[in-house]
Amino acid sequence: MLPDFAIIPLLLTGSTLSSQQIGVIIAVFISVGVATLLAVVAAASLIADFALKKVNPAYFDYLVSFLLFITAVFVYF
Amino acid sequence: MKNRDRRAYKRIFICSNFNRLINISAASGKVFSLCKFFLKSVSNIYILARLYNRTFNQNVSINFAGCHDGCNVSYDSPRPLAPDNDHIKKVGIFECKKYSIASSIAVIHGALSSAIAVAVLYVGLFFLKKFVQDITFAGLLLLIIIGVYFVVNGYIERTKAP
Repeated sequence: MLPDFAIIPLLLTGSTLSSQQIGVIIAVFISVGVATLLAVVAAASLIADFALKKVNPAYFDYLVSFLLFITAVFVYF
Repeated sequence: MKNRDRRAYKRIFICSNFNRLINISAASGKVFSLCKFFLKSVSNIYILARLYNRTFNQNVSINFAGCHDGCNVSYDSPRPLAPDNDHIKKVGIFECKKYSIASSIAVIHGALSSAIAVAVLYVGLFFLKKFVQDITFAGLLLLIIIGVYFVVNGYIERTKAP
């Protein structure tokens, strides 16, 4: 299970923040991950023609890379 | 909290969770296959346990629905049966397993990512305090490298697909 390295520059940018605030960011980061994954799994179970099942996995890779670039640009500026 | 810090906090908060939300949604195709793998293992254990139970502890009873009197045929000797999928569906345990596995994957993934990020942050703050800006750039570079990796991986998968 590969970790998500996208959080590293985000936390580094927030190096001036207190540990409590960093803790809140991490807690929400994990809870949003759980909520999203549960929502996707539930949607896939309940909806027979769930659109994500039919999409070519390569397009997911392109989407993720695009979002990583956007994140990098957003953090930089 | 200073205005600058507040802005930074807000920006990081929004950015990290937006990234999380989209990344997880986009990666769900791969997570599905992982979930299926775990579910298959769990269901195999369950089916094996049922087969074991039927083979060694119980006599098998088969009901022929076509008989007029609903006759039952019992086998005295142990005999393994094919898994009873209807019964498995009725149990409903797999729904719970599916959601618990999905949440466990998300928690482990998030905790692992956060632990690595916090470790890098602490190293940056305590040991390489002068180079925090450089580490931030290195992190951004890492993001771009991972992005390029995903593009290459997607291209390879597309070329491999029939």
